[in-house]
Amino acid sequence: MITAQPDFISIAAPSKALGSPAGERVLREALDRASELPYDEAGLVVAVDLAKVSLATTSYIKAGLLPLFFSGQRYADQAGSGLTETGDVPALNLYPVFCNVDDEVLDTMNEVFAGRRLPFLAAPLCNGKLGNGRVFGFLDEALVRTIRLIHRREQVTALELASEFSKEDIKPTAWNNRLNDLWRLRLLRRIKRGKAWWYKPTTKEITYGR
Amino acid sequence: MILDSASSEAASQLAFDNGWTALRPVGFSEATLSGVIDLSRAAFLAGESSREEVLNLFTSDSLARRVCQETMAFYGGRFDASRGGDFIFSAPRLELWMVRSWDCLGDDFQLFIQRFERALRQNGFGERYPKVLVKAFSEMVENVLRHSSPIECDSAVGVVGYHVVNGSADYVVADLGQGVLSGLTGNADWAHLQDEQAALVAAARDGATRFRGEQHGFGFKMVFKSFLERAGVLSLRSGDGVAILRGNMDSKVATTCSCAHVPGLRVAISIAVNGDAQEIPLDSLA
Repeated sequence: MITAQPDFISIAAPSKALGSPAGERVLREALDRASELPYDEAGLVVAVDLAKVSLATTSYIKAGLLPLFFSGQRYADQAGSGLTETGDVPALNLYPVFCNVDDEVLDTMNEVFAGRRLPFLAAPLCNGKLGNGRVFGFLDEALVRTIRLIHRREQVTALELASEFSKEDIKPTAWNNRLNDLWRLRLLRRIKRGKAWWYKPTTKEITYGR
Repeated sequence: MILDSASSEAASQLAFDNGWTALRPVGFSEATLSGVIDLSRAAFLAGESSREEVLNLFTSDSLARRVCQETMAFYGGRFDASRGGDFIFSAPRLELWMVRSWDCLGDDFQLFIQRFERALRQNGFGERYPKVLVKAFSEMVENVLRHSSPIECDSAVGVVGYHVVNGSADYVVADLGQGVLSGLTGNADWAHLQDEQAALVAAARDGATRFRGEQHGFGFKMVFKSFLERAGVLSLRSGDGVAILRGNMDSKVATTCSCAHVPGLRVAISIAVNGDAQEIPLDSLA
């Protein structure tokens, strides 16, 4: 069982979501909050509550929400490489989840993330409880298939998938690559137990698309 | 004759060739928001006497004259973002704003955007569609701040405004910056562009961007998306080039021509709920 303490923080984005300075403020708050907290190797889910945002421009998303994703992805890219810090956002083991997103805002986020061939996770957040996530933006077909196979599972390893879905004719190494890709994209969290990586969805369940 | 985007381009050419007094006999009977802002922009840059000539094209009590006065004042830096009590949450059919830094997108600007959205809602655009339109408008406004200056984090002055009547809307974003060609050719991917006309089509139709590695620059994709299944009109003027694009995300038809050189970019957008979109006259000048 993967446990992480603390593993979840939420940040309420102000209603003003026009322009890059507004995006940078949200990013700064999220990174500051995340930097203050100790968390284990499973990382920290950062739920950005966009309930008050009814209009967000691409500059806002590019300056705020996208770099938050990059912070987590950079951590994944550097894991095991010995690198510590590069670029303009710190590499933190974050898993951004964008919550209570208005349809128009979601549409703009889709433009920005899919334009870079990246996915993002959106979910409801109510009374401090994070609901099931949906993946938007771009996701490779093989990864979509993997998400569909594991979306209700608590946790999973590549060996389990190879055994359980043997009809798929996918080797454990290939399953491991897919799970690792989903981890890099911050859709799955992971922790090492013995020789195996155990993966679990960033939100309780995840599905792809609307 | 109506002073719209096209005739403003012709009028500024006439003025550049023959002096601004050459506009006196033209006799505009009506004017649109884009026509007035565009000609005011050209006259503002040409100097004091030109401004007076253009102002005198409009009758003393006309809405067009007020728009002209306000436009020139904004370009001159005379802008007050505060609005009176009841007006803040009203739905005016016509309003102008000025931007020149990210600070201009504060709470007052947000309220301005909300007034535009409200005006659309009260004039036959339904509940959901106004949100799509104000999103595209906001992207165009941000373009001024992101792209009008060659210096990063700097911006030229821009005048922005909207005009809504029952089932039709115009919005305009016009700055005094570097224009599109100069911005795009700084990106090696688009360095081959030869003139403003080609640069406008590249930016509006082909997603050309000033920053290398960035997708869908200038936010025009949002504009075409906002037209939904309708055929809106996007009329662009940058430096000495003009491009008019009609259509939506599925099909875009561009026509281009040259015109008198006016520094900066003017974006004029017209959309109608039903039928063909065309610029809306402000009032009669006759």
